[in-house]
Amino acid sequence: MNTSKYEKLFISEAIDYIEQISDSILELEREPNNIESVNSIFRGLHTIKGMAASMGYGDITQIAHQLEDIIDLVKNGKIKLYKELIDILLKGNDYMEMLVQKKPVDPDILRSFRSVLKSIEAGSEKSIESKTSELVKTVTGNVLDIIFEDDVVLKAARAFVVMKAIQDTGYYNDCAPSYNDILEGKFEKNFKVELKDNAPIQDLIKQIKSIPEIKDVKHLAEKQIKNKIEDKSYDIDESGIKVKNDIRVSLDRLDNLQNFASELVIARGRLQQLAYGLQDNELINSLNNTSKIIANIQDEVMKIRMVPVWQVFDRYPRYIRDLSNNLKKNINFEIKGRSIELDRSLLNTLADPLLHLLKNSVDHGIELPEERLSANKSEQGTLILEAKRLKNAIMISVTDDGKGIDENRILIMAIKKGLVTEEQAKNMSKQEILNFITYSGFSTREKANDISGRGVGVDAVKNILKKIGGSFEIHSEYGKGTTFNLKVPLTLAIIKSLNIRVEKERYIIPLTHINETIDIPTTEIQNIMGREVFVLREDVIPIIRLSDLFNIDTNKEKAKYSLVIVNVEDNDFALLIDEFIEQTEIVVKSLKGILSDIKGLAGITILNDGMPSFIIDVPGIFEMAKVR
Amino acid sequence: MDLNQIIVFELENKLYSIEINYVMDVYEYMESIRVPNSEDYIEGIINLRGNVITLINLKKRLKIDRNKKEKNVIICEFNKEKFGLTVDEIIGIENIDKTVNTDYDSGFVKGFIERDNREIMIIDLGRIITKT
Repeated sequence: MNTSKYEKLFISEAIDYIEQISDSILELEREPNNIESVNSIFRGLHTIKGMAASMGYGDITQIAHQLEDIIDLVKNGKIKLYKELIDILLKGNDYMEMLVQKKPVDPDILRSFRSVLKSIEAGSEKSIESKTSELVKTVTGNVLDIIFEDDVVLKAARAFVVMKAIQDTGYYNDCAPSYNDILEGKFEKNFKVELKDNAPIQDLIKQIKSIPEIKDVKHLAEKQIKNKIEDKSYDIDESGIKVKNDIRVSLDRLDNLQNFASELVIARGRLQQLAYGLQDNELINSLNNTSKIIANIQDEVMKIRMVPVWQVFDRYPRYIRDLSNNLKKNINFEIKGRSIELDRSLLNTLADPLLHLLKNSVDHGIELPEERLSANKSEQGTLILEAKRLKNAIMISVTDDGKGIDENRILIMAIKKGLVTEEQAKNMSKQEILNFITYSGFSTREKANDISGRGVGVDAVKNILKKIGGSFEIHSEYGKGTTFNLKVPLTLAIIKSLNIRVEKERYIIPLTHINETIDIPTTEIQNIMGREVFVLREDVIPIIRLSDLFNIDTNKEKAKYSLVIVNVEDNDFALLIDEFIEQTEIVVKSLKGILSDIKGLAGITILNDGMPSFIIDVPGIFEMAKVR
Repeated sequence: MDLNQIIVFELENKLYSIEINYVMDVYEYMESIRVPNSEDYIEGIINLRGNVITLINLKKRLKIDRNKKEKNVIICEFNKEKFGLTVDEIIGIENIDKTVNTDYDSGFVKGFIERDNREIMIIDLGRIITKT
């Protein structure tokens, strides 16, 4: 068989299963009695084994098979779980992943690994041989439960006929209890036979039922189990054949679809403007209908792209575990809000930044157990990765209860590097000081290591968030811990935003950053110590004039202004503009080439009337304003 | 034959040119949206059939004193980046031998040729769109 065209599909599916297995192994480590994890590992291995075998990948098939055997022993209580065994399982999973991804694996390592697996198997079998008879063997997969009449006379003989009938069809796989036990009639009222996946179940059932003294034959398939675990991804039709309800689509296709849907939204906006300009009611009505359909399409496309954050988050526990073992740290890693959904490509973009922040917390944040004890903390550190839904955004935070960031050290570094003068440093807020960490090349670690790199990390994280229209904040208390907050828009391509005007220029502010909007008469603008502020519900909020930051020519002071209240790094400030035009959905185009890295701008969009307009980089604006 | 064509235009009565394989289109001068906080030579952005294109004021970029008003925009693509150059007026197209004088190196000019006793500078687009 020419398998090359299936290769991509195999790789992507196998990786999914390998991730699932890895998660389940870790779950099993936390809860050694969780039978569901065992089953999940078993199923995953079983599937990979099957897939690899059909692709002709001998190494993967073998490893999967041997791991499966070990899990089978665990499942049957023949071996107890211990830490080294978990390590071996994880290692085996790693090898499989390397092989799947065609990364080089030393054949000698593989060979010795396989012999380790063999010895575990052998060792366990020896130790339990004596009590074999008490142990109940089980089978999984495509299983027929063959039930005998209560007053069966020729039990062993009937069993033999049944077994023979099944074996003759060539679909026999395994049975429980063991083959010999069955033939000797050593079972209660029933025994189970595992069949190959493609067995003609209904025919077999009919055939077996025709054998005398057989009361019933039940097909156990993986119906009950599968349906529960993979909920709706499979349907089982009446003949017991699995019908897949989902298909795999490449991200590129999805991106294209998304782009077209976005273009459609923009085209709709333009049409609407034209229609309203023409005042043609018929045109407007039919356009309104079309608009609804377009809105539905856009909505569906958006939903297709939304995936729960666990798809990325669940990669981390394994990594954190290995890293904390390496660094001899005792860390309890928790994930919260796993089911919160985010645009898929957005989530993928965040995978590396999040990993970096987590590494940072493990490496620099959380102390060694003995350090923690002497600091009067619990021996075990806690690291939390959490996703939360905000009004127009998602907040992802990485929190540790480690040693926190020493502002004084940061400040000394900042002065040393010439980022601030000693004079300026005296008046800096804690937040401003922490912000230095996000400056390119700023690192308080004198020596770089292979885990957290050379201080390129945090500023890279901040840049990525700026690119996707989000923001990045650091909170830290020295001695108590650090939190990194990443605020990200729900979707990447289309964002809800406010279209505003200052003089003749129009700009776009993403709703992600906006708390509220308010119109005020110019008389309400007050001057405190040379800074313009206004009072909102007893809070004094500084005013930033967009015209100042963007050098927009303003003729004279107007009678009233509009204010956009935004929140950056826990500070509220008001962006002063002439007026709000409308709330719109925009398609974000990134700033490239000669336009990249312009202060205060995050991207471009094309408005409904066809004019391009800039999207304001709200955190960037805040920084520009601070400098002034 | 190693022949190439250049599109020739004027900037304050002097002739300049761009190799035609980089040129995508030529337009009348058009209004654009100002780019705040950008370099002074960035004239603005326009929407060209769904593409956002940055206009570069070539005279400002080359630091030529500006007395005449620009009449044309040349849309170019270089290294997959599309941008427009505002020029005083487009004169026409000339055939040149590819090898002539293109090793000449001085700032934004990568070579020059002579036609009818007038010197035509060939602009180095790569330098034009690289931030300095």
